[in-house]
Amino acid sequence: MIWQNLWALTGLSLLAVPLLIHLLSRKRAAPQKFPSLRFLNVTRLLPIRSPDLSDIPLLLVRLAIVAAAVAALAQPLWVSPSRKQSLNASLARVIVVDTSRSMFRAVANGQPAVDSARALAASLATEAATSIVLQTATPSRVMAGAAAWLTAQSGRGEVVVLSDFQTGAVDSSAFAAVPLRYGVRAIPLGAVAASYAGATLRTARTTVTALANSSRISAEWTTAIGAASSVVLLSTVRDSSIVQAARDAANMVTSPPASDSSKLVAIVFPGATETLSVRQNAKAPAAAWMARVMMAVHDDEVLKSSVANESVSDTTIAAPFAVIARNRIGAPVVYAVQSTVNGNSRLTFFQRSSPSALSSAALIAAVSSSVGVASDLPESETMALSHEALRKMERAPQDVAAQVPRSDQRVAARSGISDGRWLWILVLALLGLETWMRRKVRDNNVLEPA
Amino acid sequence: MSSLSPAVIAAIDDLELAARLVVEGLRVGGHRSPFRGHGAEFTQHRVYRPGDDLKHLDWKLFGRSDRLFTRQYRETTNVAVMIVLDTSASMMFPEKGLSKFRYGSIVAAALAHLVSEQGNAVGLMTMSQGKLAYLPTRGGKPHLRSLIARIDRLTPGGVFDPALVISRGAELLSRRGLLLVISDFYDNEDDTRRELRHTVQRGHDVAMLQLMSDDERTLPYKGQVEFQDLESGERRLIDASAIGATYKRNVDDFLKRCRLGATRDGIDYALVRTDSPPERALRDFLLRRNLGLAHAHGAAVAGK
Repeated sequence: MIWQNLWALTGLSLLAVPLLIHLLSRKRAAPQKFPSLRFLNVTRLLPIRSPDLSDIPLLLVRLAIVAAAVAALAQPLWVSPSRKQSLNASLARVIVVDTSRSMFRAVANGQPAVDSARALAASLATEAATSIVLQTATPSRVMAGAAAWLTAQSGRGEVVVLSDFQTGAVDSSAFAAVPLRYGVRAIPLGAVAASYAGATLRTARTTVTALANSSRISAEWTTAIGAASSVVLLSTVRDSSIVQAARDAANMVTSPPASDSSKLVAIVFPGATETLSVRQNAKAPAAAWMARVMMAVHDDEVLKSSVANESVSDTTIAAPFAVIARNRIGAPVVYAVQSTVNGNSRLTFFQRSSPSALSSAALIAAVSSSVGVASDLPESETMALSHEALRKMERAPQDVAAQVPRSDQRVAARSGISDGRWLWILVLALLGLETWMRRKVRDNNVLEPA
Repeated sequence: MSSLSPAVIAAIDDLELAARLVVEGLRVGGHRSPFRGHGAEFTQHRVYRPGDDLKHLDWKLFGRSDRLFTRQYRETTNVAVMIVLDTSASMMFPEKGLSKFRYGSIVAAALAHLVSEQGNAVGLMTMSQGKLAYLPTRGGKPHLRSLIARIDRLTPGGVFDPALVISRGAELLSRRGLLLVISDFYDNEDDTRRELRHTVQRGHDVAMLQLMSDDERTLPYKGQVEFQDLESGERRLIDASAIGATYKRNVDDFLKRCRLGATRDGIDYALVRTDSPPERALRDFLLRRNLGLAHAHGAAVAGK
């Protein structure tokens, strides 16, 4: 038995209503027509509210009416063997296709693994009664959404992941988001198992070359000194060495980002000769990437903590300048604006602390990482989850009858199945019985010879 | 023929049929006619009652016995019987089963049948829809049928003035006859008694058939009951369990008052319980009436 609207069972509290009615209702004096009242002297009347329950059969019928109506509202579903078979026959399937860069490497047949995955996904989709194919570079992030979609479907459900299962990409914790009643299948597509000669990652100033096989990986990092950067640092001549030191420090704490030449940024330190012209050309940031970079820098935890201890005089920053970071007392330390630097329109950050301050290095690091292209080094991972590990993560979808009742409240609701109609028929029959009993009681009250 | 129970009688819609069945039940064992009138041929003596015509006093008998007797004569013409039927709303009780009104209608029809069969004239006086409704005393089967049909058409309720009905009924008896009043005698008790007394004083023979149902005699209700007066519509909430004894005492006093008053005024009185078969009630009434006449006759004979 499955209750599809379990909350409706709270209506059972209404059972108290007929009980109270029977306890509190005053018995109506039985009306009786009589030839003459001349011999009927007025007597002292006693209270006629009875503390005892009267008309027990009538009370029971009324309680049964309320209980049956509440049960009908709860939409019960009796899972008979035939109905169980019918429900189990319908399988909802979420097919997650890993489209990360590693999946674009060719597999044995010479085709990219992702193509094989897509073909297999199409095939799997046709097998299921209901299906959806999710193509994502981060399969572990869509598991919760897949589970939510399955919850809205009828019958059994399962999640199928088609991936190369690089170590760290999808693991058992990702499947934890999928409720136990739904099945999980992991189909590895062997792009990772084969060794490959190497992957090269190039950035503006750094080149990483990875050499890998199935058992080990080696990487070679090459940094191009003096390579052009999209981030320009403006300071006094005296501070230039300090600024460079800050840049180096920043590069030490963050992996060298691949700079995007379309995102031009400048950082102006105190005393820079271009300060005045930059201020004169200031205007509100007009590009969306500028807003994203400003937000990223604003949210940078290292910058926040380093700026907090900076001591600068409090001042008022007016539009179009936007405060990016404040110190502990709320004084603005870093603020940003769009301006023209070296003939290019750039997102310009103003640093009010000294270039030698920790916050300067933190600012350079935050800005560099926020304008950089996300590194796809993880995609160079050559280790994959073993078949044994994948088998341990897999599980079969549970039958409908074995699922937690709440799981299929929507199942039958969407399939239009409910046994509530029989209870409504019972309610109607009980109402008829109650009316008959009530009239009988009333008639008995009218003619009630001792 | 066994007595027809009130339940069976109540189930018979045809009043004439019901009356005939009741009369058939009365015939078992045969009887003398209980309706004696004044006529040229002397038949018996009767104890003198105030109001009797003095010309019928048997002075010789008085001289011998020192007691006053009235001569009675065999009717050379048939006796006239005027039936007065109460149609007040109180007669509608009980609502289920055989009501007092239906019972009274059957008794009235049966008596009319009986009287007519014996060659006497019978009439009806009552009120319907607040107006006097009557049929003069006549004999013959056509008249009997129309009288029964008239009774059958009556519906209880509305205004019923017993004193007026009795008075007009007595007036319609052109010669001395029998005025038979069928009622529960709840209405205008004093006026009714006074009018009955006047009727007796005019020389008519008067009989009271007082109808009472078992429920109104014993008040068999329990708990709190909201009684509604059938005539006035007044409602009164009563603890029936507590008032039972007092009520019975009041009703008994009322019945006793009616019986003693009737006896005192020289009126034949019979209390008829509607839970007893109509023919049994009628037989008892007629037997008692015969007995009374026989006593009167015996007394008269003994006085000769």
